[in-house]
Amino acid sequence: MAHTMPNETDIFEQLRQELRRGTLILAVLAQLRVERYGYGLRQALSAVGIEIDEGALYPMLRRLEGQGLLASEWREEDKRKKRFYRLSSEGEAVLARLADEWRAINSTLQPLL
Amino acid sequence: MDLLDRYLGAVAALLPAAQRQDIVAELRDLLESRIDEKAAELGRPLGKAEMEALLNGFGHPLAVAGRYGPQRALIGVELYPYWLFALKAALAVAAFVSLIPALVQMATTDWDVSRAFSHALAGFLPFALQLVGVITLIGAAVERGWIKTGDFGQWRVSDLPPVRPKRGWFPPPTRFEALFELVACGVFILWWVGLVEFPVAEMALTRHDGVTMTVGPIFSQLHLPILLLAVGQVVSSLITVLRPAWIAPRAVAEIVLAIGGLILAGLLWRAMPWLTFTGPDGQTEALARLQTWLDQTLKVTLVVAASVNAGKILIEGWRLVRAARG
Repeated sequence: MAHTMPNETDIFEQLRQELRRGTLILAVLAQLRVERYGYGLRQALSAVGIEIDEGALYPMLRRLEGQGLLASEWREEDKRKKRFYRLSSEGEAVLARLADEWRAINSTLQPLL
Repeated sequence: MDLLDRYLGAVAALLPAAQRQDIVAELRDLLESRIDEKAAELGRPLGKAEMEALLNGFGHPLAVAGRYGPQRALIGVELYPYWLFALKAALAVAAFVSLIPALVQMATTDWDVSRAFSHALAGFLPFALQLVGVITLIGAAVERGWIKTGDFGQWRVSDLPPVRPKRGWFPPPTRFEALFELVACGVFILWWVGLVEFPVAEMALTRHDGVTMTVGPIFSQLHLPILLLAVGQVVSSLITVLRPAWIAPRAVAEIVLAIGGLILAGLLWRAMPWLTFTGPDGQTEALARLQTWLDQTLKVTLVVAASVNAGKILIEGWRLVRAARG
């Protein structure tokens, strides 16, 4: 069976997604310094140019909450029950460390690029 | 909202009970927000087709619920090469045990190639599927930590087989050969102790034309020694699979097994004939010819097996001496 070679666009798209995957968590944590509900978070990310699939966002929020990095509570807003997320104190500490790591990677890579 | 309720109901049915209510409430809020946003864009409520398209775009309920699972890969990337290796070895064994009886039937009966092939295929497919299922289940259990692999994942470079420029006259078995041997012996042991049955065994004992093949008592008498030899072979193969650099322990095990094999060949020779045929009166002469042919074939097989074992003792002895000299 002959394998179809992926074209350049496919390869780029795959690599781009791999590159973005880790940075999305950083962006989500950073946006949750302010309390937001899921849909509002997606809109806030979209407003700064970060598009995230909702199908991936909600399980990610739950995973981060399970890891103790986020805290959440149900509240009613606009006559609808919404779940609001915000960074926990542990999440703030982890975000600070990840942000340092990001800056270090950035400054290391910048001269190479 | 009927479509939304149906959609969320389908997702809910696939979620773990403990989190179901919570996740569905959150998804409902998200989807209602999306619906409101879309309706604001259009300046009117969504029609049925638009609602259908929106929910369709969110993903199939199986995919949506699946994203909330704790683990998404049955066999992860770390385990995958091991799983694939075991699968290839098992399929090779399945092909081997399916093909040999068909070839024997072709050589000893009026079976033609197509009949032998279809028989081999009919034996291979269910056996191969069972093996694939078992190996995948074991892999999934290892992946989830239900089966502890201990220090199997730990390895040292010095345990790897030494590199030889050429595979000389009597090369030690490769890891793949040893794994094949291991799986084959494992399957044989399972069959020998009666834990699995192959259609082959039944086929060999009774035939459609009333001819019956009777196995002599020697195999019952030698049941335990044959089992021990097979277990010994498993141990020897395991040494090569796990510690290919252990040339001397493998050589010792092979010498012990070869001596056992020689004794076994001798006992089987003395107990000849251990396979006898009986059948309808009209076939007496043909069965006598078959009996003579089979006895001669088995005698040749025993001589070959004894020679191979004797040769093994010499080769492994030489390997042992070479390993002792460093």
